[in-house]
Amino acid sequence: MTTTVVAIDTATDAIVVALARLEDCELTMLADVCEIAPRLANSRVLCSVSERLIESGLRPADVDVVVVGRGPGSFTGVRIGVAAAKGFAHGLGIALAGVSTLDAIAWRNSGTDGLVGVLVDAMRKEVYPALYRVSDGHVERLTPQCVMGPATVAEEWAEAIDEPVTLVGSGLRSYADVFAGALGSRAVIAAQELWWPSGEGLLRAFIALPDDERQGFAPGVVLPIYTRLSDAEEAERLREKPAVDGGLS
Amino acid sequence: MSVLLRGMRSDDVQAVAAIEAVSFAAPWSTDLFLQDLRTEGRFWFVAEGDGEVLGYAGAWVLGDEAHILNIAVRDGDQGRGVGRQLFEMARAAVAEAGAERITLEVRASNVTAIALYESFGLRGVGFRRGYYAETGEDALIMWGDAGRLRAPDEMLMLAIESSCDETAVAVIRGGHELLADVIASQVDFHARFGGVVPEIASRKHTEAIVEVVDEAMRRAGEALGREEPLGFGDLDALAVTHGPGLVGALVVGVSYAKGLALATGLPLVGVNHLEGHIFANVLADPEVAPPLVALIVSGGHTSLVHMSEWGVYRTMGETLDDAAGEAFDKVAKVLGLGYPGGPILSEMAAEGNRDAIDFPRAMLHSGDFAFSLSGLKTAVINHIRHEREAGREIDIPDLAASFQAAVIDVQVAKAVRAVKETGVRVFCLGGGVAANPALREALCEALRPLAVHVSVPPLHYCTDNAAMIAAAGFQRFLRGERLGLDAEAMPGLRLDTA
Amino acid sequence: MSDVRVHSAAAMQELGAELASVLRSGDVVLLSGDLGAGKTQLTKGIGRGLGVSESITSPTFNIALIHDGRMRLKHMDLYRLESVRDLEDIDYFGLLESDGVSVVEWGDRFPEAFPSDGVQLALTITGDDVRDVSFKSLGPRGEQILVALLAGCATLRDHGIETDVNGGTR
Repeated sequence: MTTTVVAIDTATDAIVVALARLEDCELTMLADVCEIAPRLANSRVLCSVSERLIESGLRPADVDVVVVGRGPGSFTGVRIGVAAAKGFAHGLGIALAGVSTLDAIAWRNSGTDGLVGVLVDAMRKEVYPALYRVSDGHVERLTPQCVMGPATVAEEWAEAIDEPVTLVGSGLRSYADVFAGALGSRAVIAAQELWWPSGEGLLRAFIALPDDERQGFAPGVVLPIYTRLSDAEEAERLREKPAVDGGLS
Repeated sequence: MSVLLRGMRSDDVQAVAAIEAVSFAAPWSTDLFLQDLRTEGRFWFVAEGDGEVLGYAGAWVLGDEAHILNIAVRDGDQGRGVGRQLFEMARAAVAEAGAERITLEVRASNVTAIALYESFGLRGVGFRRGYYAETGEDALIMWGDAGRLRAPDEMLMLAIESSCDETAVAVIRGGHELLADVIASQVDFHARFGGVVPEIASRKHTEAIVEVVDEAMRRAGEALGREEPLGFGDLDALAVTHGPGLVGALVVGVSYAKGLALATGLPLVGVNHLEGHIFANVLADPEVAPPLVALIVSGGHTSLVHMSEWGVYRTMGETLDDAAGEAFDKVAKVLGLGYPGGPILSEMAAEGNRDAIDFPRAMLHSGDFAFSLSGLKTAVINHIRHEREAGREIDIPDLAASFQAAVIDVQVAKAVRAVKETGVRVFCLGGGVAANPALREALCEALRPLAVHVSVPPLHYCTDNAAMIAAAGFQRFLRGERLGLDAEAMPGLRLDTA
Repeated sequence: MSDVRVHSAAAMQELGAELASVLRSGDVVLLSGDLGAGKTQLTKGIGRGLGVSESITSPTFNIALIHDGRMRLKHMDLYRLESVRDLEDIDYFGLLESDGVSVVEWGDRFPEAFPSDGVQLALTITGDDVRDVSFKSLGPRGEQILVALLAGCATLRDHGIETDVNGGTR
């Protein structure tokens, strides 16, 4: 069965909107646009969805499922993306699936095997860090999502890692030096255009979700990721959510 | 950007022809537009933003068929849904004029426009080969239904309010008949989220909004005697509060509403929260109509507003520092009555002597309509300090009554002057503090001898709700006002028009 | 220990205007003090100093009010917040880091959420119209601001601002 998917993410300074066809796990991107536009998420994101649909000759009603980046990231940014996705999915009566923005950034950088370290700026001199192992085109998250001071993360990673790690994410704008210092020659800082989520990254992260989460949920139950909630709380929320009827199956 | 859709006037033609000239290979001249404007059976609309023409659309009705003429949007204003809004307006107009079917020609290569028309249910039925003489390109002929025709009285609107602490949704029919009026605190979220919904929380809006909309649609279905909830396809329009308020809270309602509008193709209207408080009176009292003066008093606002006609507002004066509701809450806090303690304070005031303490009436003789409450707050605090230093017990009812009297005296005096200066015969009160019985009574007493109709909203409309947003939004909808997909939350949105 | 004594609401505004003259984009000013201590008055003065023309009203209800002037003033109020988690809810840190000057009433409410630099002004009611204000820096930039502010205040005795209170030690 082929499904048409809209993917959006506004958790960072990038406004990401993509349109794709999904047949089993075969992904065909129809459009994938990443605009770096700080604080313009609300005014841009739905215009971009509308533009992508029109360019592809599709109507909103042709969309079967919406995938949204749940953060972590800017609180207002995440809320804009999640609320817009809820409105769009609710209006169409289709399922909404949430993926981690950090995962999406890692999946965007899954071209070569090795370690990928994602560092999204969390303000207050902190970052949202997550470490990933890429092998054979598959991405596995090695650390829980959290919020930490960059020096602590750099120290932990320096201790744990004895191979090159590709670093990506908006946290590098302020803390590239901290990581280069701690990791030395192991730190490989990726080109800036790879620091953001992409539509394809969101969709790869979506495909990799456990089966029950991949069904998508009723739009009411998908929520932003606030890493300051404990992991247990997050997991409990997720367990409590019933999957939507007639989702992606 | 807010967009106003309205009929094309002859003074628009210059701007329209300029857009036409860059949009079409064989453009209409200004003369042709002027001539067509005077022709029977033609409908022309423009979309106006910031006082400029952003785009236009025309239609021609012949019997039960309508032909859509030119639709164009100015370069740089495309992609915000203006073309969609114009088409929707033209379609509604020709349907009202009796057209059942709509047809148009579009350049076969213009996939953007074709997709737009398809989204309204039009379908390509054939080509006119070489229709565009200049380029030799084919035209795609499209046909579709003009859509169901519903009189304004029958139209259904869903409205969303998330400007502050309450997530609220209402469904209204014909601008005055409420089919559903739901506030998140009334919905049982326990089953779903297994816990408390936080008090001051943009997070709450994100968690609650879909459920509150569902509940409103369910209740609206019930109100219409249906077994099923209302579907989005049953609606004619959406409205959302886009300011003023907490930015983090507003963005949730605005983003959600825009997503819903894009998904359903429904037109979206932006409502000013303060305007909503005036419409709480319109909903409850059929005599409330402009010209009128409104006093809006809440935790965040203290404003005297002159509404000279529907949709035209002028703020005559507002607070220079604290809002009235805030002053009540803070004095209650100083007295140890808790927060928000405004209502408790006003209950205690009923037991006390309003003349016990002579608190200042700030700005009473300022000659304008501005209010200032921080001086009064400081006077109350100083009084409490002096009494405590002197070892005297504070008579809380007397203090509450004296404080309340100081607030009310100024509000009433300025309200009376505003009514006299504007010559209006209708006055209404709105906002959370409108629930204060002493204020309601004092205003009625002062204004009724002047033969002014005084409206105070029912208590359940004093607090934030979406019913009032629906009532205000419905009027804006009928006036052709729309929000684009690029609309932002406006935490400092002013009520004043232009 | 207080740094200055302010003798009227108008003088409190003068203090704010003087403070504004040494502030630049990115600076954070935390204000603390009881109800009626003059936090909003002080902010009105800062607004005037930053060239804000609209009136600066209490942000208690809206939590954050943004005023555009020669420099943007982000006027916040944590009075209604109940826990440090509410700060994230209102995007407090995003606001602090955006362009302009931040003035935060009840800014001492959550010590664990203090910014890494800036100044703190604590206002104390010492008489009907008299307020003592003590200054504290939160980092090197805060120190710079306070040095300049105290120097400025020394010239404002005629405006109801006293600097040599309780033998202030700076």
